[in-house]
Amino acid sequence: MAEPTATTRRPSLLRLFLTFGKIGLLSFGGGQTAIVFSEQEVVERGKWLSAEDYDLTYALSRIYPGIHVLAQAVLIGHMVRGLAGALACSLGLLVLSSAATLALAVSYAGLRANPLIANVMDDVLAATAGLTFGLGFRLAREAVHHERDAGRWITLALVVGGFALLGLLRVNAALVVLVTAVAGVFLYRLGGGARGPA
Amino acid sequence: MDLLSLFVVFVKASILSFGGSALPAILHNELGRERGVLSDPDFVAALAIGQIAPGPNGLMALAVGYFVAGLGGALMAALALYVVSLPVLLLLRVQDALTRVAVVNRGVRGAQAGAIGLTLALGYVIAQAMPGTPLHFAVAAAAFVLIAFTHVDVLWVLGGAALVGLVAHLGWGL
Repeated sequence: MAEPTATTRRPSLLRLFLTFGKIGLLSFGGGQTAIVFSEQEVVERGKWLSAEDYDLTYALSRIYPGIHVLAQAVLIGHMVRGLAGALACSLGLLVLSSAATLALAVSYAGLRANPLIANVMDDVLAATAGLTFGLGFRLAREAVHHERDAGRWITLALVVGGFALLGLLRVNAALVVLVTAVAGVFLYRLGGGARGPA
Repeated sequence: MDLLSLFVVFVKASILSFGGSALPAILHNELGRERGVLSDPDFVAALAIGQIAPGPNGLMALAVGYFVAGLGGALMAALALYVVSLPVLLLLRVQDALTRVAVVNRGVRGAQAGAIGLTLALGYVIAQAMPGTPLHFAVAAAAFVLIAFTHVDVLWVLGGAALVGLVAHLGWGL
């Protein structure tokens, strides 16, 4: 385990918990917003980490297969205040937003028998279908743009392959991720051209 | 479904989420298609809740857990997300090697591309579950265009769809 990096200021654990709670609560629309907020809080306002250390937490959390924002909170907390800091930051990010998510889930469960809600949910379902396609389309476009030359075609092929394996052939979704990881190791090697993960 | 098996599914989905894009697809696959303990409407509600609620979208797993097994299920989801996030600290030990080893880089790029494919497959599966009226197709098409080509917030897209559903239902009810 790397030693906690020396920082200009050393915030209390409560401060870390509350700051990441705030980052979680303010980050509507998922990870990207949370990253912008955490950069502001941790580097610019708090001066808890240097920009280089912050960039390292960003890069390492991108390699990590789990939820990137949460992994980055663990890394930031550890660099600022060791293991206790890692716990404070990740719990802060998780606990408060989880309460909000759970409150919505409980309210929905109480309403779903209502025919009006059922009808509204049909349209939300339609929007979710379009939204999920749209999100996949945007992510695919970005991933292809990050690559060069043959890497672009390989990325496109892996996206289409992932789609076909789950959507058409009904292969287990977790297995599909592993298969495309292994395929990536071989195909990107064949295609040459190094490009970092998005 | 017992809580331990549910926990295992959540751990699997969190480990392989690759930033979150594969998480909903894995949960829908394992709990909906394979085990039949999660209905499509509940899954879609969980997905929408994940978008509406603050915090990482991966928290949609908590809503899934709640719909499958109540508060205990939600707790299993939260625990899984948390437990899976901690081993990232091990990467600090091997950071120099990691940034140099090409195999890791290529494997991550492949998995990320595959996870995007899963997101598209999930869109396809949800589209199959939606009612096939022209209105629903129009809503789906509008949502696709707004998300794929503009920077409109997801909240507006979901809120707009709910409003369309409300107006259509009340209008036909008259």
